[in-house]
Amino acid sequence: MHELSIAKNIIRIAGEHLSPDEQALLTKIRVRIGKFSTIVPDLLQSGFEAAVDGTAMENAKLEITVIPLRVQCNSCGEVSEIEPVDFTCPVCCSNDVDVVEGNEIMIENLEITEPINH
Amino acid sequence: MSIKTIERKVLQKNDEVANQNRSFFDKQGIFALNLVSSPGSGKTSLLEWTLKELEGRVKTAVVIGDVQTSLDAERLSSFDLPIIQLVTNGSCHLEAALVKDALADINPEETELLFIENVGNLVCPSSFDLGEEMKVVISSTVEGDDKPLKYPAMFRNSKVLIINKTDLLPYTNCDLDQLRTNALKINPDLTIFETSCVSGEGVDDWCNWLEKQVMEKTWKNVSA
Ligand SMILES: Nc1nc2c(ncn2[C@@H]2O[C@H](COP(=O)(O)OP(=O)(O)OP(=O)(O)O)[C@@H](O)[C@H]2O)c(=O)[nH]1
Ligand SMILES: [Mg+2]
Ligand SMILES: [Zn+2]
Repeated sequence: MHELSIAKNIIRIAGEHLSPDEQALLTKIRVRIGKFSTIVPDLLQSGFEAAVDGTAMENAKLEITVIPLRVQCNSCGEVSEIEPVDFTCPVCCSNDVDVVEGNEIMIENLEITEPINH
Repeated sequence: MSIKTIERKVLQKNDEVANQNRSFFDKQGIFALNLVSSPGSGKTSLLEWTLKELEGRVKTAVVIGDVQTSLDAERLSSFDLPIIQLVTNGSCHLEAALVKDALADINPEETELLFIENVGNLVCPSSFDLGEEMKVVISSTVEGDDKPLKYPAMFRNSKVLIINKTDLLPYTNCDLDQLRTNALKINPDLTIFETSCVSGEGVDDWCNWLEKQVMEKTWKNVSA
């Protein structure tokens, strides 16, 4: 439900890192979204399209990489991918686990085409 | 083609303000709670009971977030304590900056416990740190026993679960044991209370526990 507000934040951060010329040449914004972040990638995608429309960066596409939920077990030390319905270590069945990946809402990088000289 | 590396959290700005709020709470010895639930689970009702129970025991202030109205704040206006209403203007969650603004309206000398009632929503508030000591999630019996599995982030990120509306158990298909089991599968460290905001049953256990937490925070602050 807050995907639109996340999309606006992404656009703001991209804008802060680019000159007006670069903004017009921006083609791609890469983000990493954790499976356990509460962000629905499809909603973020459509939120982004709505929010970027009419701005200087309107040619930019959003590329979302979804990061699985991984926990590290404090009993056996193993890192495992789990589904967010049962926080139990699949190796030793301990429930003393810490999330190591899958929470993130990260902006990774910006791709800009070279300006056409001459 | 060139690539500009950013590598930063999209919500970094919110996190920074949340950390400012957290330092403020730590410095002033204020125990801040972020109260979250679906719409209508009983956040304001539990506040009414809790404020009554803790009257004269703990110096309390309340910040209430609402999408549009000030109805919840009006319900608490009979209490002789600071009640600060925040209207989010359509936004589905509170953000740290709004809470920071509200802090200007409380007297830190006169505050040991701060309740922040978030907007009724089990999804979005879990992404937005407000600087609170802990989140308290309320799930009511009429919502069934599968809420923890459907909204795991909120239950994982909370320290306390309050199962409210226990008076309505006979009229629902909610299995209390199943609800507890589901919640503990997501977060084995949850402290769980059961309350009814009609009879008041269970409110005393919750309030005694809470008072202890507040005292520990205040003492830590005095000895620091
Ligand atoms: N039977 C019963 N009704 C309750 C209980 N707690 C709250 N209610 C009722 O549930 C309704 C919603 O309660 P509120 O306290 O307004 O819930 P809320 O979580 O603050 O709601 P929002 O702020 O709108 O998200 C009200 O009509 C309350 O009287 C309870 O323990 N038992
Ligand atoms: Mg309310
Ligand atoms: Zn293990």
